[in-house]
Amino acid sequence: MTTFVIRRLVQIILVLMVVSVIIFSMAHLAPGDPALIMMGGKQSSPEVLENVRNKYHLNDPLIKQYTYWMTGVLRGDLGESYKMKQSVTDMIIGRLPLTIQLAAMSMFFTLLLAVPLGILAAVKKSTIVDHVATSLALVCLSSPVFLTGIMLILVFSYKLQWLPAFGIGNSVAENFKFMLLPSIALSLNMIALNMKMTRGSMIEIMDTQYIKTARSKGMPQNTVILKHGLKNAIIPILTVSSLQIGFLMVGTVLVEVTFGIGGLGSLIINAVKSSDYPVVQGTVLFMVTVFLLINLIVDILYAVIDPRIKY
Amino acid sequence: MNVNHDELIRVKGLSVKFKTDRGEAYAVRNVNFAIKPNETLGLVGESGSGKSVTAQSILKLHPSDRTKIAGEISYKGQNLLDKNEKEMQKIRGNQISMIFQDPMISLNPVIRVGEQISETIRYHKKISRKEAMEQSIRLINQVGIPFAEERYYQYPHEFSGGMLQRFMIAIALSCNPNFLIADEPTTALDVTVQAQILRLMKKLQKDFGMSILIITHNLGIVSEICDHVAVMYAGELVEISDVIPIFSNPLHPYTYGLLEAIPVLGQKHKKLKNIEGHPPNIFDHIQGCNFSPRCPFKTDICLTEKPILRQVGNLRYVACHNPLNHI
Repeated sequence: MTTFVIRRLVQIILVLMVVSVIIFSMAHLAPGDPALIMMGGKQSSPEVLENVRNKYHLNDPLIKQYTYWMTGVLRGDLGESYKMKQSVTDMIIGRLPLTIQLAAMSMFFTLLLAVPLGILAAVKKSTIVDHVATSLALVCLSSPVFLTGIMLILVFSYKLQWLPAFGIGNSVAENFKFMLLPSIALSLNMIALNMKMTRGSMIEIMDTQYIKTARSKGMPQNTVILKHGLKNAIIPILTVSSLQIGFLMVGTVLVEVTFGIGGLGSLIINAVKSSDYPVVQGTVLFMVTVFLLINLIVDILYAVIDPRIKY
Repeated sequence: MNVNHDELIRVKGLSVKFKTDRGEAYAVRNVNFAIKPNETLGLVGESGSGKSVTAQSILKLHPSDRTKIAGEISYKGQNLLDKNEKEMQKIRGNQISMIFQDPMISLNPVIRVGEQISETIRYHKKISRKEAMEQSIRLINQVGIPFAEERYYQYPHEFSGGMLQRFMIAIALSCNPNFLIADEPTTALDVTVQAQILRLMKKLQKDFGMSILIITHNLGIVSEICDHVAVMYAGELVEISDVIPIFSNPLHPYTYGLLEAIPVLGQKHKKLKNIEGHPPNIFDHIQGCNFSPRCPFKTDICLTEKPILRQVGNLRYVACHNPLNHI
């Protein structure tokens, strides 16, 4: 297990190095003169611009610029925002809690609803319950996050006026209310996908010989489904959930913009809009790192759940 | 068969129909047999003849929405077919147990083998975790697995097929049942392991005092552990007999064919014998005797009239218009 984790960590570092090159090149391929951007579009003399270029090493060859950036990154310094003149690391740390809260709440809703619904649909296969659940899942699965977000605002904020549409609130209780719609919007897609996955996986498992054995031992229905069935079905569900972490990150970007939440997602969007490349580079690199680490954790979880998997 | 009050289980007119996309399929038709305490009945037939369906009907393991079971299965005087799912749960694994063909897929891969025995005991006997565990360890020893305390905590993938079948037997016997259904318990195992498992079953039958219904297509197994044999073909019983006479004096042409198909050691240049043709499709309806298309001894009546199972001797029944040897 330890060797596996070490091997995977080395792998992650290699992947991150490649990713950092890609991110860096993309930012530098984008049109626009960083020096002009830093001046905020103000009329400036060529000397001033040249000064700025020198200060930020913009005249150095790309390889050198990349080395400056990477040495900073390794020390935990992601550079300085062109626009805000603020450390990118601090900006990320400042906005991280909101995004984590959003992601955690959606993941919570997803698991809370998707797994039980999937089990129900599987056990009641080909009945009205199954058909309703599967059709609903199809609808949720085929509507993008920004659409469901706007629909939710329309229904629950505008028409019913139950929940606020924008912002994050001032107190903890208020904050929960504000975050409810965004996390539901973000989770609908995942609920649908996870539900379908749980259903499929449970149907397959409930047909196996060891389930028949469990029944032949006289185990009650609930034990058969939850203890003997779900424990086996959870493995493919876990795989899908881990892949959805990536979806979740893209989703937070869209949802944060739709609901006016100042998390990492809106940070990226604003940075891209204003060509604030250090921020774009830093945030994207940070998200990729998180994605890779979560996948590692999921791989470790496999071994915990399934005794047949040993690293 | 006369009504006998020391019978443990009696299956009367059992018919099983499955609803499928292609219509209804009769898997088992009008099956009758009885087993007395401590006796072993072998249910013999080729694949698809309805042996397993018959066995699983006793425990009502078929999906209830797609299966229609008719007839009567009386166990200690109560008809199991009248019982609901809750009542069946109290019988399964407790009074009537079952072991299956392939031990490699019969145990839950993510639950420790010991727990798979213990949970059965805990559920039926309502005893503490610790007591259940102690009993399980004793059982693991009894089925011939050494180092039971350590094995208790291992997972199924850490064992061979023969070992797993021993664990299955331990699960089946954990609540001291009266009746064990063994559905081809050795088919998936090595020949040497087969013999060990059969010997173990025979020994435990004595120790635990139970009846066994063993399903097999291996007549060697029948001769080794059965008291009686019932031969099944295309969902129907064609012959019932004590074990010795069926080998020396088979009455039904199908039984004869099965016996002939056993290769004899030393007959080098002889071609292996088989029964020509295939068993009928479950959806087909055959007029007359089910076996007639394959029967070398058929006469005109076999094509028009279905033979019924009739008594031809003491505990000897056959469903054939022209039984081979008259008693």
